Amino acid sequence: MAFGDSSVLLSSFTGSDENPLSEGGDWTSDSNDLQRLSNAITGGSANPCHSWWVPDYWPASTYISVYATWTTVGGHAEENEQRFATLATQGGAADGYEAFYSFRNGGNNDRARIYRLDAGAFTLLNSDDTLTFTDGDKYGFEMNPTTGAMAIYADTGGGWSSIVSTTDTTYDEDWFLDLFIQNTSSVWDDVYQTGAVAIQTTPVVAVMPPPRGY
Amino acid sequence: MPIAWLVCRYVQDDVKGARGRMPAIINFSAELAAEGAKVVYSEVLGSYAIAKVNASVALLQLIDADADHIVIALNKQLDSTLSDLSQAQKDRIRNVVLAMGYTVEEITATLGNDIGAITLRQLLQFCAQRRFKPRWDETSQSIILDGPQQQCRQPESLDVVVV
Repeated sequence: MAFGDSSVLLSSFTGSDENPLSEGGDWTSDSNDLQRLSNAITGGSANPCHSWWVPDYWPASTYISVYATWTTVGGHAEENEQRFATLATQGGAADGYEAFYSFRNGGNNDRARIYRLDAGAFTLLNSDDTLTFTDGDKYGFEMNPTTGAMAIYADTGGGWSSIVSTTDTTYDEDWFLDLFIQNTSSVWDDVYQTGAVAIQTTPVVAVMPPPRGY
Repeated sequence: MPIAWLVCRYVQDDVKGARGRMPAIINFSAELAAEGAKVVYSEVLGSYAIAKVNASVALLQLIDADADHIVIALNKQLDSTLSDLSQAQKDRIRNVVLAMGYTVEEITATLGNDIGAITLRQLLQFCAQRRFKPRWDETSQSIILDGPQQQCRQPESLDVVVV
């Protein structure tokens, strides 16, 4: 299956402005939330912000992918993330994996990196530090927890291609999706996901601040 | 281009700060990218990584001269012996394995007393026996590796990525 195949729209973020992002309770956070603004999402404040998807989770060993259109890459020095964290660490110090996107200033190249999270500590698994992010590009993250294979994909107009890949088999658990946008200048739209999901029936209770990815 | 196996330390990540670690080989990303080099690595015990990289001899020498790296084999297959290493190189490798946290008893029992008598695969597999789960410690504002034992990605998995 190629990246992007069988993807379904998680949200187009269409509706009136909403801060914090909720969409009827589908998104929540435990610190600085994302907001829905002008039919897209961005940070709810000039802080590192994140919101996670509440209704579903991805069972262990399920192929997972997520991607979004970067309507606006953002101001310089933006650092945004697409994270799959273990359900057991929801609201706590996360275990899991994330695609990390760093938009840099001063003529420096942009960076896409894959990190593993262990109880809130980040370990770099692989990176491409030679990129140039452009408004309208799409970026996504896929994981095959069974094999440990994971990759960041980019579609800059010519279709999807893998730009960073790695293998890590530390975690194969139930997963939830957490999106991080550092502040109000990056704008994402139309988040798609792939992978069989299970309905999350346990109420989400935030017990402590999550690790901030910045 | 020549292909090398090396051991490198994890250092503070250049974007995550104190919360993050990266293998020190990332500090050579620009030089590696300029050569079209490829690198793959696996975390092992004691916040070290084993890595396989293809790069010019000049760049490999530069990396080897860096305090956070030690090149242990050049243009060797996994089943090649390390018999061509000098005593100084063997001592350096043994000291790095000790610094990872393996004991003298473990090293002697598995690798014997002469690293030159074993294969590259045996040495790398020894390094990749175990590691411990890290965690972020708010009190000390540092990463501590005292969690449950974790499996390491094995050298055979790295070997097929850089050829």
